[in-house]
Amino acid sequence: MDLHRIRRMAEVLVASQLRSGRASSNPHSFLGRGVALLVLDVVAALAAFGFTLWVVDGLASIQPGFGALAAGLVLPLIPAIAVGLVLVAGVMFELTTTARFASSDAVNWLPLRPIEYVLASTFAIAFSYSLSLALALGAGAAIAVATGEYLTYLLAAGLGVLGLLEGGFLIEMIRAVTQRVSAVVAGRAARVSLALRIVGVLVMLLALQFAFNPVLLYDVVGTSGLNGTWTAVIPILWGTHSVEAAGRGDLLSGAVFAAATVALSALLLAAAVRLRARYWNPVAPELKLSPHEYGASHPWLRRFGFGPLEASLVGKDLQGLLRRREMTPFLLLPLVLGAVGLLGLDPGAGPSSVPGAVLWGGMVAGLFALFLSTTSLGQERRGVLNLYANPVPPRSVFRAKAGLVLLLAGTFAVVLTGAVSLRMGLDLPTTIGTGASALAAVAESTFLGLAFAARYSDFQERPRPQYLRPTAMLAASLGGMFVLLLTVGPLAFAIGDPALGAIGLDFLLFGALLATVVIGLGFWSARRGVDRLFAEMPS
Amino acid sequence: MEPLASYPSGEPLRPTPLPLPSSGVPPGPSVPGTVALEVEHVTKLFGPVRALSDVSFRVPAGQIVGLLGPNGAGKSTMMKAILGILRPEAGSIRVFGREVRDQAVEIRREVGFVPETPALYEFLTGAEYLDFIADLYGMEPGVRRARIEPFLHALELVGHEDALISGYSHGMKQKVALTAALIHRPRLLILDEALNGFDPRSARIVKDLLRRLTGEGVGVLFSTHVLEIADAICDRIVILDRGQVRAEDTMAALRARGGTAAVGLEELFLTLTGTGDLPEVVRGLSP
Repeated sequence: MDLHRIRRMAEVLVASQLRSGRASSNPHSFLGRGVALLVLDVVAALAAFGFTLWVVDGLASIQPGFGALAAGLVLPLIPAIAVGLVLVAGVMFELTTTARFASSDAVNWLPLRPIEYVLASTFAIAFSYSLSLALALGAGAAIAVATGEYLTYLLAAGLGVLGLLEGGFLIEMIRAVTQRVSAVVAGRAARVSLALRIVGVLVMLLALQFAFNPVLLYDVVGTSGLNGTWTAVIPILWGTHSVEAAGRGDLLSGAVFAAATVALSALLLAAAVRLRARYWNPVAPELKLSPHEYGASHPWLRRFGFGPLEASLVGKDLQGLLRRREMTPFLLLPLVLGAVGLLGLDPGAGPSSVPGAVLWGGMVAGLFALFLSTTSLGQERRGVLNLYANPVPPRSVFRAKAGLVLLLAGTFAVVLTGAVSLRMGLDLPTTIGTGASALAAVAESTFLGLAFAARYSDFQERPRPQYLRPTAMLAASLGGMFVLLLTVGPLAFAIGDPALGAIGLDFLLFGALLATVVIGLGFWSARRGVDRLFAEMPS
Repeated sequence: MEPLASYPSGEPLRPTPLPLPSSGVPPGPSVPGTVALEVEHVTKLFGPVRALSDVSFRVPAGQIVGLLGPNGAGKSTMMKAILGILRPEAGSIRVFGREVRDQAVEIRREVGFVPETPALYEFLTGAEYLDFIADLYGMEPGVRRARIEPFLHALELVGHEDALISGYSHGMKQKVALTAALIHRPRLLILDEALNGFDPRSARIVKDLLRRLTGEGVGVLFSTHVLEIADAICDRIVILDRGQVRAEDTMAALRARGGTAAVGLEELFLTLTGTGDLPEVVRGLSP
């Protein structure tokens, strides 16, 4: 094992991560170098340290013993949070990286051993997502200073760093397995393969949401405590147990759990290396071909009012959504959020909880439409040249892109409304109102998102898919959420709370009027934007 | 299905039974003197960079015009401007007499374009992509197989058409792009390094195909770095360098300009583009 090679490979992978964004694409800029992350970590840790010290000192003066309470709650969580956040971020961003940019193809012919690549990649992942740990360590240091729990803090810090690496090893394991799956299904467009991949990612996202959600972990630690509880059998929580035991003064248990965590890390490393060596190879796909029946593409889409040209564009985009690995999270995340959020609705809270449920339904459906529409043009990537070089009028592109989002998100809104209605036991008028507000949210988001997409889409091939420029994505997300709150909020109260009476009617009129204005402006802006986009290809 | 052409080793070439244009869309005008493409005084700026500067040339119907130039000369920019993908700051581009600036979408119905790097949708299969392109041109489902399959056979894509494009080699992608550019029977073909990645057999088929197309009245603008190909198949040559036309003429006229009929296109090219100092460069590289 050559440590120098590992370091160089890790540097390359970190640079790939940093330079995948437009802002840092200049390799000579400060933001394009790994040291930028280090500086960011230090600044974040210092800021968290100062802020936490100020809060803990202040609260401790009001409530003596607050510092010890904070130490008992925060320090044990550091290792668990480190693993969880790397794992969730890794699944969202690392697994969608194309093999070309992850240098995975290159390592098949470079003189690198599997363990060298796994360690380099893990260090790169851990370093890239170290900001959250830096914040936690800064806050933890302040608590340690306030309480004198230096030994516990040092243990938490060490296990936190180890937690980052554990998360990285897990990502490498998942990546090796998914690489093999992708290699096996490569070249196939079979429905069964696609369905299996989508179901697999859905299960993985749901499992990660439930297993590594920091809020859930906090509940476990806060409510059941860790003394001899069932959580001791969850390996990923051994680090947390170690810190908690050390904090109680039970150094033996602390040492045992710490040793177990180190052993777990070694085991995960060994497994990741083994999986990589075994699976990360090019495999020849076995193809079973049947003669293609040439004919108009996706004629069934004509039933939804699309013309032949638009139906073809919509059909192509649908195939892209289902077949492209990087698009899967976009499609599935709303379903995951919907499932998790639906369980969080409380039907026992009575009528007062209905407006919240209506608002939640509208927001989730609207955000789904927003993500689909903001990415709808950028997902063409280099293939956008087809739309420029062939006789495709801009209006057809507009109708196809908006139509697909309305179709998918509208269906989702209807299903979600049904689920909310069943969960909350809504009557028919309220259910219809919930559905109408969700559909209005979908229409608003579709055109607003498309207006952004027409102006700020990014068609370049990048390591991590970036369909809209980052600042535009941020503006579209925040702006979209604000507009949704402003329109769906009044509608939700008008629909969900009959006790409002005349004020409810005012709310309804205000919400409906505002939604109509937003839809109209968004439609005009999106259509004009698409016209301008296809007047000349961006250089 | 019979292939477009086959070339058994050592045997003379057989005539290529091309699918063009026997029925359906009427062929382009083969009237002598018809101009397929007219580029007049075109200037294109990218910020401070003058990518094209007062460029003028013509592609007569039924001729292959080679667009030559070193890397960064402006060839791809010129081709995109012809398609209306880029808008020049000045000048006029007309395809069969129609101004591109005003009728870009309509003109594209008569043009076939193969970009330097194939920009295909890699999540589609080759057949699905060609079906998609046929949709964009409003091609009737009934005629698609007859239009597409001869190309698949000739370019040896049969057996791969139901595999995802992401699994294709560069050459296979280029062949799909070429097929997509031809199935609607264009009257003007714009080929940007279209033979990159082609195996010798396929390259030969395409060269013969281009000859046959010009016989049917199709105009071809053909950009290449391979001067031997340009020398062999082009009727006229336009040499572009740093956004300006350095020469435009028939091969014979260009040779005459070089002072001797024996002078090769390479020497002419190097002289006209100011890169004739090669011996010194090579000497500098020698250990």
